[in-house]
Amino acid sequence: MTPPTERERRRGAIAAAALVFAIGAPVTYAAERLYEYARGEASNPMLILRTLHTVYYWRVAVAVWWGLMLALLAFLQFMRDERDPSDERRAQRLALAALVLIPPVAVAAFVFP
Amino acid sequence: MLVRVLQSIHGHLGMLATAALIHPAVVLRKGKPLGYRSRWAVSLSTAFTVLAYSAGIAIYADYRNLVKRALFRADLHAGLLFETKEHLALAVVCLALGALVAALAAPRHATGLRRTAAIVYALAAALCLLTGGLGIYVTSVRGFWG
Repeated sequence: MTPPTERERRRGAIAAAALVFAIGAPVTYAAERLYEYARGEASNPMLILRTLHTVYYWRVAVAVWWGLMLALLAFLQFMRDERDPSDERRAQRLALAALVLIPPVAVAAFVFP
Repeated sequence: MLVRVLQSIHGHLGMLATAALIHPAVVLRKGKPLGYRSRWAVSLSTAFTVLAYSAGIAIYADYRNLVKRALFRADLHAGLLFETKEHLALAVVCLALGALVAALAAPRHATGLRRTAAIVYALAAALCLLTGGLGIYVTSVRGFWG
């Protein structure tokens, strides 16, 4: 099998980094929500008359930002690595990470609404 | 009036996205390179999801002002389920967008990455189904129509 070209390596790294974003952003969001619960900031909505800002927008923005940063770091790491970024084992690890991390995120959304 | 129309569009697009997200999971499951039509199909599925989420974001401020307190008064459990729905919705959008970029960017020989994208799409579809179900339940308790 011929080694991948530079363009194929870059595209493989982008694809793998995008999967890192897909997993990283929801996990960060769940971590933020758990942190709010731990700090006691998750109050009863019935007791709030008016707020100056919408917390949800901020949580989303922070989660997406962290997801993008994780993806950027992953992209740089995959490009530096001598292995092909589209390596089968790397893809399997990302699949495993998605299957292990995303269901608990969904469960956390129910347990800590 | 506009917010009620947007709520309807949001609901319909959400259910459409649930069905549409299953398709990329099926198309990508064997990891074969995507053809021209498959690329369009996968992109449109994700676009529906992003549109549904955007419609939700567009009415979110009105939901907070007009519905949220009444919903919590009517049924605390339903109000909390709405919070769950908004958490799950973000996960769905992030999963779908990441899987889309992975599916489109993966080079021809990267079957593993496309298979992983299929798994991520399947997870997004499952969470989208949950989100849609919660949305229907919560709206049946209290929506912009009262």
